[in-house]
Amino acid sequence: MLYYKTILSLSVIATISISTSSLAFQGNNQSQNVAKHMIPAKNEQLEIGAHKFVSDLTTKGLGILSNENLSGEKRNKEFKDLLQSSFDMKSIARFALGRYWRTSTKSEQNEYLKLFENMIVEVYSKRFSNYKGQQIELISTIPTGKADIMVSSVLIPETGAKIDIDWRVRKKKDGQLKIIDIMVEGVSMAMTQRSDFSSVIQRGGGKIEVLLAHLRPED
Amino acid sequence: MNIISSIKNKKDASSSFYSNLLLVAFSSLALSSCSSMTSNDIYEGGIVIHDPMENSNRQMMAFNQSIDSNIIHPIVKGYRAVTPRAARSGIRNFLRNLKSPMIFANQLLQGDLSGARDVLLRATINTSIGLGGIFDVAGYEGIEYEYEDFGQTLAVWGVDHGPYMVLPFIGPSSLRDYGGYITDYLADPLRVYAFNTDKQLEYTGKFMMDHLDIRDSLMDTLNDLENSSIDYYAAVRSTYYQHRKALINDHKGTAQTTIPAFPYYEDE
Repeated sequence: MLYYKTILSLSVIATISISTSSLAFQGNNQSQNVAKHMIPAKNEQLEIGAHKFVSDLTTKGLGILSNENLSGEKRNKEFKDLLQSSFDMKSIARFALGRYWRTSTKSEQNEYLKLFENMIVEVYSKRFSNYKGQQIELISTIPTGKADIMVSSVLIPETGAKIDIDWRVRKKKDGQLKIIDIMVEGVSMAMTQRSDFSSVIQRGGGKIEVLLAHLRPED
Repeated sequence: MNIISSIKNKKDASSSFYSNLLLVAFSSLALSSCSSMTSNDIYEGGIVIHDPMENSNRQMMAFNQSIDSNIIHPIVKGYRAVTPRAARSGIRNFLRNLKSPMIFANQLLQGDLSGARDVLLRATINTSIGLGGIFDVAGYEGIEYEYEDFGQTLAVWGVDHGPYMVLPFIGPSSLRDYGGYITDYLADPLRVYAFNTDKQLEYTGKFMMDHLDIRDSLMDTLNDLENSSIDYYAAVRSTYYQHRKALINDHKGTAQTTIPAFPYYEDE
């Protein structure tokens, strides 16, 4: 009994001391916020653009998924078109292949790019079809590279815990914004794919052909 | 066994209990730090994957998969069938609330004072207004649940993963995280309380429910990963390391230092 009284009194003391110290923390946060506003104007514009890009994309995507007027087939097609136009397929494909890109021939690279795009559209559209009827709320934007912005969002399910989704947006040379990666609860889809592919190639004796064989559609 | 018998003999219970605990904590610490890195390590996006037991790990994963499809998944499906979604969410909140002492301790050990404050606030609000933790009132008010365990604490203290391990029934882990898992189990104030007041059965029930809840929350994600990957083992392993890293950074995964570098292929 004494044990629990001790814990109780300790926790009360801890709460008090922590809440006072957290006041100091909040002060620190505010100064960080001020610092964040001092980011160069060019980046700020990119952040706003990336925010709008992801906001439009998720609104459009969720709209297609919950549009009851479309037939299943048509909905799928529209969704895939949206993915194809908003993802930087070539960069994602190259990232996923990692160091094996350089060691493969031109024709292997071309076949890989084509197969990869088909696969990723298939995978992502399946994954996001689960998000039907849910809400995505954008939280913040952070620059993560010279032309990269990470747009953080949460997916709010009908019940249960929120899911963190981070969208990595890159401004291409032609000025277009594209998604290069999506991180769900801190897990990068591109990174997971790279790990998967490199294991397949490594276990297949270092040949990219083994991976291509897996990616080719079964007849 | 040593621990249980020593707890029954209450006189020297606490001293021998905590020496056992320290033993587990420090052996996991020592083992993971002395496991040297080899050329077979996988480096990806700032994460080092050390998997010297890959062959036996793959076998263990195959074993787990057969257990999953034959036993665990039918149980989870049964659980889903008899428990409406809202009730499952209430159970999850309740179980999370019971983790508060363990999470609070780990927040303090990590030196995360604001995190520790949030745990206390959450536990106080949810236990009272949230009717014993069934409703996550604090979460609605913006004090979000944050999961901490001793594996993460060790990581904050600078301990590496050590070798990757696939454990029977539990699944992906590492030497460090498994040591943390055992330490959390032994040190959990709730468990110590239950075992000292003849409530072993209740605690075991809670322990089983914890794992059922985890499997319920993971089943769809893992199915999706299995369908979308070619080498499921490598995909799970990568996901495990990335997810642990995000947890250790308290989900501040968007900071430039914590995300993988993504080259500008256009510039080449």
